Amino acid sequence: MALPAIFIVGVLFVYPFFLSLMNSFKVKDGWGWDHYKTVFELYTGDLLYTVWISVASLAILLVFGILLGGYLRFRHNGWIEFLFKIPLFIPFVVVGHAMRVLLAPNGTLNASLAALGVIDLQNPPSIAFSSAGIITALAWKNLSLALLLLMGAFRSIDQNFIDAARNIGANYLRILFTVMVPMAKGSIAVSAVLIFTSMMGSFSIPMMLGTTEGSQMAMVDLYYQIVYQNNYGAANAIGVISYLISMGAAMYYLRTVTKR
Amino acid sequence: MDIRIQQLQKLYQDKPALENINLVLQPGSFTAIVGPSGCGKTTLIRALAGLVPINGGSIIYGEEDVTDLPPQHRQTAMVFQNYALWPHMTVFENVAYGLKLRKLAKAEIEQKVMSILEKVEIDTSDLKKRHPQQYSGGQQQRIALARALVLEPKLLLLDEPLSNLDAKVRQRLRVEIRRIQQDLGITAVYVTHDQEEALSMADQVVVMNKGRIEQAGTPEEVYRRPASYFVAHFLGNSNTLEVIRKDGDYRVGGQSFKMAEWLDIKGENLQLVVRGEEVKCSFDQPSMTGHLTFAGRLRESLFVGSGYRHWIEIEGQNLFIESDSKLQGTGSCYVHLPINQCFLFAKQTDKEAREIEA
Repeated sequence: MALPAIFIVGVLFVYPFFLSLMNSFKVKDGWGWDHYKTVFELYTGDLLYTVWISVASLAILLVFGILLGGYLRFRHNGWIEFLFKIPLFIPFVVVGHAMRVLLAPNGTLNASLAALGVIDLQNPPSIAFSSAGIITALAWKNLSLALLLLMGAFRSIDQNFIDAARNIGANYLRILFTVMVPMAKGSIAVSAVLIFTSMMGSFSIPMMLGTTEGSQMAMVDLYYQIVYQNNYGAANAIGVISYLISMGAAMYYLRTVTKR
Repeated sequence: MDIRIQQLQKLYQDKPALENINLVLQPGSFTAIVGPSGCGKTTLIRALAGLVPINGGSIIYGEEDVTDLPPQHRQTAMVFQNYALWPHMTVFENVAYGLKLRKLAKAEIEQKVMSILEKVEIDTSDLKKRHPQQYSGGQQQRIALARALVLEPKLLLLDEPLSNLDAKVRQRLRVEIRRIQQDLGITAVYVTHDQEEALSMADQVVVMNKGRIEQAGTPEEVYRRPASYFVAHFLGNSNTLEVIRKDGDYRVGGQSFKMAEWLDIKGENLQLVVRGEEVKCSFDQPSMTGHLTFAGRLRESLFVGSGYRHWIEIEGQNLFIESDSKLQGTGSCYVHLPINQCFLFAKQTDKEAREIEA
């Protein structure tokens, strides 16, 4: 019964991964670490930048997700729930474009702020084409998935646990952070890992909202190595390193799940 | 300080869950609310805690109207059926939670937590390391009780706290909850579906049905002088006989009798309720002073440990009665119902009867 599933995983995941792993070690006259050396020489900063962007987006996302998920657990509101689920159905490229329109120097946000007299459009600040733009877009795009996972976790907490805290004097915010978040710790960790992994591998948003100078996210580097340098070895090495970082997160995920 | 509940009303989707609830809780008293599932008893206790918003009426503590106060400002503390101890906190943290919110000094919190846990007989060593899941159900409920009592609430609310425990632990905790409540002099409301629990623990028993109070009184009052067919039928091992009244004569099937005492009950179709332990059965005694006697048939006798339970048929109607010793005989018998323990009510409509049976 499990054979078709194993076959699919083998063909679609294990085989390409080993191919990629092997290619990352393949050099002109045999095997070696050359591609990894190149990647670390060129992209150590970018890899750290990628982790930093993912962690920052995740942190912002979790704060919003937990507050919003908590609110919706206390007061069911179908309309707000629907509103925050919309990004789930919007492709990454569309999110990237929408954020460019909103956050560009002459975008909607700045135009509104200028109309209010907050900023001067002659010399407008830009959120798009900066790290802040990528972080905003990644957090926004993934908020609905986070909310979906967090709401499920919060809703599975028995009402009596919440009422017990309310009854002896806790307000909603305190119940959220002292009762609900610790009780949903496992699910929050799982959501965080899943979203972190997806952010680490994001391409279209950093491509559309990132800067052309300074650090790039890992998948953008991978793209350049393939398209402009035609260096598949280095591209594979970036892929393997990203995979290992994600796997570190996934191992944490598995440990949390098995601990429960 | 007495607590007064006046004309309390709660609607769920326009259907009344609580209707015209009026109740006075004397200071330091223990009130048990009893009734079948869905009668509104849990809604009432949650409304008292402020966990359920109400649609009308008021709740007054002494002179203070707390109707619109949020739960955290009511000074009530609740104990839940499933304990609701937070599994991620240690026992100490669970009990200290409310005290920390009140920003008491660390030493004071420690002293209060230890003292209340000793009162509920929980071993206080290792409290800061052990989690509630490491304790038995009975012990968890003691910890939950401690978490509520440590705040010295004005009103202690207990929502079926013993329902998840086995019979022996339940028996013991009943006595202990009552002892602790009396020691501390706290006013308590206790919701249960177990009438024996209600009758044995409370100063005041409130019998609820369909969101209304059917009767409130001392345990003896509600048991010995039920105010409605529902109360008579609900409490104890009750049997109902269909009685027809015609021209001053009362009839159960083909057997008629006269009764002067029951004239104030209206209607032709009546229901007579009698408790199984009050009925006597004999094979050679056609009458008994102070009793109504019917000819019946002993269908079956069962040994139930503490005594015997008998299935008796009178004119096609079934009665289940109890006796300490085995009945010597079978078949035709005389069934004696003590007149002062027979409760007569006008017959329920079919709909009402179905609801009571449910």
